[in-house]
Amino acid sequence: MKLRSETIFFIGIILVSAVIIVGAVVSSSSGSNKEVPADLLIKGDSPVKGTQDSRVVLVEFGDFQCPACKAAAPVLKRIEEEYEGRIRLVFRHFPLPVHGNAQIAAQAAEAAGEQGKFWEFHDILYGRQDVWVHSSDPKRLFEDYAREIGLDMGKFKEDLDSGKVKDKVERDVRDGKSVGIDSTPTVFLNGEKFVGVPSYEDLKAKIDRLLN
Amino acid sequence: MSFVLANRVIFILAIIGLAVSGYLFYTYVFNSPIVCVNTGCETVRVSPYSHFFGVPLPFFGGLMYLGIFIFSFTATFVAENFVKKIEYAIFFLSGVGVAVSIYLTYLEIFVIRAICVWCLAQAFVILTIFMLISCRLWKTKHEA
Repeated sequence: MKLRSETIFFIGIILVSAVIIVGAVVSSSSGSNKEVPADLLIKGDSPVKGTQDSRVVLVEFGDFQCPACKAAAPVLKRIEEEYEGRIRLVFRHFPLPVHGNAQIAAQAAEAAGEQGKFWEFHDILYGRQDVWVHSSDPKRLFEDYAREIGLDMGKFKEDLDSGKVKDKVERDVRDGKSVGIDSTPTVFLNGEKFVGVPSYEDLKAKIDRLLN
Repeated sequence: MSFVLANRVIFILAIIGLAVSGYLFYTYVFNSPIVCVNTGCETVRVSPYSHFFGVPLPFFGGLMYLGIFIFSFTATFVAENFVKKIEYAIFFLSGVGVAVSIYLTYLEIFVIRAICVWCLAQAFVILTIFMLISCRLWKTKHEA
């Protein structure tokens, strides 16, 4: 059977399209995997757990309203406990605009941090995520949580909306964007990027290699 | 516009539609890491409207574009009187596609309240195919 010229032309279109699509797929999957500079990842006033001078640093960019961050929390906690004294865990805020209560939650956690109880508040926020995410008045719930962990309520309320706390969260988001974050949780292990909920085994293997 | 030219444009649009649906289907099925992403597409993807009886919507979109792709390609080598039938088939398929796309875009704007640019791109493609084929059919009817 002899093909008509139009049919041959269409086959040509198919081939050209295939080349373009394959090219696009290849170029998008070969992203650069370079290490991120530490000064962008770690700030002196960021909430931190562990030893200040440890060689291994885990930095999490998290959003308290993100279910995936909630899932990552126990993994990071387990790692932090297991390597206590040998690693440092840093929390950076990355509240996503799609999460309506995430920004105020970040501010509340920082306000608790002003009284040295960031991590206690952090645990409550993830633990009770289902409760406060749908609340139209999350501040009231956060005040309850603050009372529960024994914070000075006057100071907490004041800090919650303070410029200092807002600036800190904003700076974290800015830093996050400049290191190319577009989703949470994103974890950096000594500058190496992990997107999504990190697996315990994966982190453990990499940390062991870094420590030895 | 002659049928040959219209069919070429429709064929290329069908390939674009196939690529978009294929990409979305892939992200729905395989590439769904447990993350929160700051995009409208993610919000749409996790909404209850993104699947129909458990099947990701891009699958149906892909089927539609595959149908148009095959019809459009077939039209290059079949007899003249058969081309008319193909035109109607493309008209029907893309008409359904436009109706569904209008409904889904309405859902995105007013119910899910998030816009996915890929969905919109797809809606634009199917609307263009529908308008092209409608013009063709309208013209041939009036020429006859």
